Amino acid sequence: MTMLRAVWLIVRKDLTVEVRSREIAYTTLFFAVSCVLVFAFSLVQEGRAADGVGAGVLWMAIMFAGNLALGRTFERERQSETLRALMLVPAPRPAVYLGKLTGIVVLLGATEVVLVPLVALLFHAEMLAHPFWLAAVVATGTIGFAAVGTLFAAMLVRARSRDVLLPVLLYPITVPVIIAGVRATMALVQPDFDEAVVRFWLALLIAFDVVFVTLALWTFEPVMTD
Amino acid sequence: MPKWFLPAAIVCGLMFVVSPFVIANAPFDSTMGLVYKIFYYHMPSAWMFLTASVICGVASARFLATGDARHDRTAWAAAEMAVLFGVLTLVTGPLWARKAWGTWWVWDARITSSLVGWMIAWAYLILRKYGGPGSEKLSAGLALFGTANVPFIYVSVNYWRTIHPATTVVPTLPFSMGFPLLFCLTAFTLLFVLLIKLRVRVAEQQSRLDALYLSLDDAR
Amino acid sequence: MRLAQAPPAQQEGFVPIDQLPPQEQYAAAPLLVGAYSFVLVMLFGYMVSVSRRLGTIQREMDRLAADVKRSGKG
Repeated sequence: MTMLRAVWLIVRKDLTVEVRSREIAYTTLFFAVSCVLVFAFSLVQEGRAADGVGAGVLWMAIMFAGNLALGRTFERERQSETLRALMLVPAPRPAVYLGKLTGIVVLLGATEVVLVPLVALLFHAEMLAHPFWLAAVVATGTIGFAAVGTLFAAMLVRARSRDVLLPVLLYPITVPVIIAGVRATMALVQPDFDEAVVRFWLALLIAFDVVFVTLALWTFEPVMTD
Repeated sequence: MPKWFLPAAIVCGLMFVVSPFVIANAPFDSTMGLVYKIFYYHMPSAWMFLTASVICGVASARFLATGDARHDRTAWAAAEMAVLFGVLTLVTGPLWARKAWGTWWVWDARITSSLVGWMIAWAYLILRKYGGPGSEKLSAGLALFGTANVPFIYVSVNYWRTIHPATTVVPTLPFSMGFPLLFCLTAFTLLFVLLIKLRVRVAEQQSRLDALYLSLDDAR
Repeated sequence: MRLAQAPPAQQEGFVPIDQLPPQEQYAAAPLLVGAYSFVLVMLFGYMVSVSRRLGTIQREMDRLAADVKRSGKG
C-alpha cells in the first residue's frame, strides 16, 4: 500500500467516526469557548480588554483545546486497540503518523473557524482585517502544535499517567509556536499593519513545521516499536 | 568505580573548599561591586547546564538509532545534571540580577531560553519517573525534540532585547578576573564528570540488579 | 520592587576596580552568601542522594548474592 493511500484511509476513518459521533468536535469546541470566557472574565477590566490581549487569548484557547483533542483522539484509539492494529497495517509506519496528524489538524481547524471570529468579537480585535495572512498564521501554528502533539500523544498511549504527561511534554516544546503565533496575530491586529513582522513570524512557523514534521516522521517508528 | 574516581573526587572537593578564597582575591567590578562575584559560580553552572543538555540530546539520538541501553543511561544521567545545574543557574542569576539590575527577572532571550530548556529537562525526569514501562524511548523522543527546538526557542524569545553581558567578556577579562573564573570552571567541570559517572553507575547497577531478578525468576 | 521590567542600558563588560565604594558592601552580602550557600547545599545534597541510591542498590545485590549462595548450598 502506498503512503498516500494509507494516509487517506486513516484520515477517512477518523473523519467518518467523528462525523458520526461528533463527540470530540463538540467537546473540543465547547472547551475552547469556555476557555475564552474564562480569559474574558480574568482579563477584561471595566468593559475593556488590554490592547493585544485578543491574540494571546486566541492562541491559549487553541493550545488548551488542542491538548484536550489530542488526548481524546488517542484515548479512543487505545480503547479499541486500533493503534496496534494500525501499526500492523502493511503501509509505511510514518503514514499512520501523517494520517493522525491530518485528522487532528482538520479537527482543530474546524474549531478555529468558530474561535477566531468569537475572540475578535469579544476582545474588540480587528483580526479579520487581513484574512489570508491570519489564515496562514493560524494554519501553520496549528500544524506545528499538532505535529509535536500527535507524536507525543501517540507515544504516550501505552504510558502511565498519560493524561497529565501530555501537557507536561507538549507545552515547553511548543513555546516557539505560541510566541510566533501570538506575535504574528498581534501584528495583524494593529491598525498600522507591518507586513515584514508578520512575514518573519510566519517564516519561523513554517520552518518549525518543516523541521518538526520531519523529525516526527523519523522518530515515529523507533519510538512506537518496542 | 574506576581508579581515578577517588583521587579526582578529593581534588574536586579541595578545589571547592579553596574557591571562596580564590574568588575573594579577585578585584571588584566598578558598577556592580561585590555582588558580581556570584558570576564565578553562576557562569560555570550555566556552562554545565548547557553541556548536560547537549549530552542528553546526543545520547537520546544515539539510543533511538541503536537501541543500546548505555546511551539511555547516559541520557537519563545527563538530564538529571541538566536539571541540577539549571536550578543553580536560575537561582544564582536572579540573586545577582536583583543587585546588579534592580529586578529579580528579565525576559531576555538567553535567560528565557534557558528557563524553557530547563523545563524540558525537568519534563524528561517526570516522564522517566511516572511514565511507566517503555518510557525510555518516549523520553529519548522528548530529548531529541527539545534539542532540535533550541534554535527556535532562542530566535522566538529574542524578540525582546538582551541585557546579558556579551559573551566576549571572558577573553577580554584581565587576568585578575580570568584566573578565578578558570579555577571555578575547572572545579565545576570536574564535579560534573564525577557526578555523571556516579549517576550512570547507579543506572548500570540497577539494570544489573533487574537482570539478576529476572534470571532468578527464570531459574525457579 | 518590580518582578520583571524593561532592563536598564546594557553594560558592555566587566571593569575591575580595587576599591569598593562603601555603600555597596551591605546589601550585596546576603545575596552573595545566599547564592554560594545555595549552590554548595544543592551540590552536596545531590551527591548524598546519588551515593545513597548506589548504596541501596549495592546492598540489594549483596543480599541477592547471599540468597543465591544459601539456596545453592542448601
